Formats: sequence, structure tokens, C-alpha cells
Amino acid sequence: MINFRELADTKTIGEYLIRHKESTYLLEVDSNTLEVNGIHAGDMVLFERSGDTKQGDIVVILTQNGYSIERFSEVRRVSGEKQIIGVVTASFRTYV
Amino acid sequence: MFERVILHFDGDSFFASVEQVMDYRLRGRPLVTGGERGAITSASIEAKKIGINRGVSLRDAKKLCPELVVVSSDYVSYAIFAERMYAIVREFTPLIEEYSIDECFADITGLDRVFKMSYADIAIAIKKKLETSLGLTFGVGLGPNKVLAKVASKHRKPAGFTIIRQNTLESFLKTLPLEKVWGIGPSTSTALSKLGVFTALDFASKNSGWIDHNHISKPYRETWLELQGYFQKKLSLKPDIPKSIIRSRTFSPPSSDKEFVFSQLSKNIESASAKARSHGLRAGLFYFYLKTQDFKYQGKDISLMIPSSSPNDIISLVKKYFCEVWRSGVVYRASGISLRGFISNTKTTNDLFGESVKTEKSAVVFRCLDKLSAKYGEHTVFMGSSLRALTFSGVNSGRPLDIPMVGKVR
Repeated sequence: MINFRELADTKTIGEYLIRHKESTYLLEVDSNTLEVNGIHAGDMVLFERSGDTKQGDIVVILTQNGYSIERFSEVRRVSGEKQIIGVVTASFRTYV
Repeated sequence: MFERVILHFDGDSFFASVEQVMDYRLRGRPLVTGGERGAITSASIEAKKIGINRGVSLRDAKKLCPELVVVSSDYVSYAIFAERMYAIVREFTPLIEEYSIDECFADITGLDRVFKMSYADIAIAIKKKLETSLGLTFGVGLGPNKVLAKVASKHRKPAGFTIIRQNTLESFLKTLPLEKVWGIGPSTSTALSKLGVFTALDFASKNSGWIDHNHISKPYRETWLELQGYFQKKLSLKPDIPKSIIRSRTFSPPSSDKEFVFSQLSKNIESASAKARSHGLRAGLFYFYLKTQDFKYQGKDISLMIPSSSPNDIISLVKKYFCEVWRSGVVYRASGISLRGFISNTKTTNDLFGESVKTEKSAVVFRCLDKLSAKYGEHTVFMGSSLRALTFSGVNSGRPLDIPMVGKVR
């Protein structure tokens, strides 16, 4: 049988969105959340659990109250209760 | 250093820890899994601190800790985290044994030169990668063989890393009760204690004359040698027999229609048994479950009299017990099946009453169906009981939680 995917120059959506599957997780942006760096309420967010964060990354923070995302800056290094657990690698939304 | 360098990775409170990653509200709380079968299958690190573990009954555990959280096992998520664990270790070495859902061995002999790192640093690097990627901690042991690597990983818990070297070997084995050694069961340790052997060191110190005289059989002889630091037990690199085959599908919209939910389960059973047939295996045990709209699991463990990989054998048993799990009025969102206790097709034996002849006949039928599926696609010919699932117009999301959904951003 012919495997058309091997012949055509295609990429699965998963391959496009996910770099390191082993450390990637999904979050849904709550409907009441304000826009952060182009990520809107209702969007799906993919993030990689990682210890490395650098200036400009959109980071995922986990506190007692749940997840939040913000632009990382060295100056306002998150401390104490707030814990950076990873970096946002992709986001997507559907319209129908 | 030793000839071989073996690592053992052991996920701390694996099932409970996965639950805490999947739901952040459970972090830091005493929690146990196994609610659906009324027995603790795993206790979180917090629960272990108050003396709750797999040996404790649920009732006693609740007495010990009234605020204990009891959740149903989510085997699909555990399997995904296990696959991720193997994949991460495999980034460092192809020589890995997927020992169980929460443990694996890796052979890193010679990799010190490849990575230009010490063996200890390689172990720590893998451990760190596992812990940040999965969000849970691992006990890691480094030793000259599997038995000692496992002694090492159990040495300091949780999140420990322990190395056993030839010059420190004795100190580890001196206080280690024999029954704590991997592969030595309670009956063997009782038998050996009658011969005056109580600790791992007592056993390791015996000479070969003693071993012969007491007719110590081959596997224990290997353990005896490994306790002395020799490499005996090879890693089984690719499991010839999978531990379990799981098929589960979410259906949207959820449903409280008994016949429809059963057809979903029936379809999963067809896929799982096709997978078992492709491995040339027959299942002796299975577990089927339904997942309610509020994410609770209800299920039942069943054993087959004659191991089988024909869906009709499994479906007819599920039909018999479905009522025990099904509750009318409850809305269900997913169904699943997990086949276990596999034996190879070639190993089946005949029974007295000819049941196995029946199983054999249906095996022939399904071998033909497999050929049709290979040519025309899966579910070309299917069981009548799967019809409604296969003509379902809603959404059947495949491979749920391939990427785990861990919560909402607020």
C-alpha cells in the first residue's frame, strides 16, 4: 500500500506545534482571563516543563491558586510562593 | 569502578504523583489512588509521611488521616507518564529495560567517555531531566548490576540518588534484610533465615560450596553473585510481551444511554484484542471501566478461564458484569479496556472440557478479520455490539491525553 504522507510534503499539526513531546503539556485559558502577549481567553496553550527561562519567554507560573502566564523578565524574578514551571511554546484557538 | 554501570530509576509514589501533576490542587496533600477498587494502589509522599502505604486498608488510612484525598486510578495518564519516562532515559542510552510502569533500568557503561562526564553526573543529568519534564521526583540508584542498582535507588527516598561502589558495598548490605533484596520473596527469605542467613551481607558472604550444598537454584545464585558486585542479570531491552494493552476513547456528547456506552466499550475491546493478536498474544485478565462526566472511574477486574484474544470472548464476559458497573442516570464520557496477563499464542494448552476448542475456532475467524483490516482498514468487519459506536455522529477523541491537559490559566 502507498503511504501518501511519506510522498507528500506534509507535516502533522502535532509536529508543527510540539518540539519536545516528552515535556509538553496543555492548558486552557480561562474565559475571564485578560490578554497576555497575544494569548486570549479561550485559547489553548502548550508549554514545556523546563528549568531554563530567559528574558522574553512567556513563562507558566504555578501557585496555590493555579496557573498563570506572564512575560519573563530577569528584573522581576519570580520568588517565594510563585514557581516558574515551564515556558509557553505554542498557542492555538478554534473559531467554530 | 565496575565493569558495568547500571542505573535504576524509580518514580516516587508514581501514581499519586501523576495525579498531583494532573491536578495542581492535589499538590502537597495526603492522597491515595485506588478508590475504584477500594484498596490503596499508591500513596503520595505526604500520605507516606503519616504512615499510609499500600499495605494499609482504606478504612484505616482514613482513620489515620481524615483529610486524606482518595482518587480513582487513571491508568491512561500513568501509562503516558511511563512512556515519557522511558523516552527521556532513551535520549541518553538505547540500553534500557522498561521494567514496570514506574521503574526502568539503563546500562550507561562507557558513556562517561561519550558525554565527557562522570557516571554520577550522567545519572544526575537524567534524573534532573526526568524531574523537570514530568513534574515528579525519582529515586535513582547506580551500581554494577540490576540488583545493586535497585538496592541503591531504594536507599534514600524520596528523590534520592545513591551510588554503590565496591568499597562501600558491605555497608549497604550489612543492615539490609534479605527480603528487601529484589527477587527474594518472603518464602525464600524464611527458608534462608533457617540456615542462619538474615541480611543481604550474610547471603553475599557465603562461598560457592555453601551455595551448592544447600541447592540454591539458578536465579538466587545470580542474585548471590550480583550482591557481590558481579553482573549476571541481563537487561531485557525490548519487552517481548507488553505488560498491558489499553484502549480508551472519550465520546462527546457524553451519554447515559446504556446500549450506546456498551457499544463504545465493545469497539475498544475490538481494537485492544486486535493489538494483542498483532503481538501473537492472548490475555488472561482484563479490566474494563467507564468514566463519568465528573471524571470518576468505575470498573471491574475479570479473569478469563481460557486466555483469549478474540473480542467475542471478552465482550460476552463484559456483558455479564456490565450491570455491576453501570448506573442508570449517570452520564458517562469515556470507556476503556486494559488487557493483561498475556501468554504467547504458542503456549496455550488444552483444557478438559473443550472450551479451548471454541476459543481456537474464533481465533481462526479473527485471524481472517485481521487480514481484511490490513487490506481495507480497521473496523471493516466488526462485532454487532460495536455498531452504534462506529456509526456515532459525535466526536470520538482518540488517544486521550496524549498531551496531558493539566488545567486552566487564570
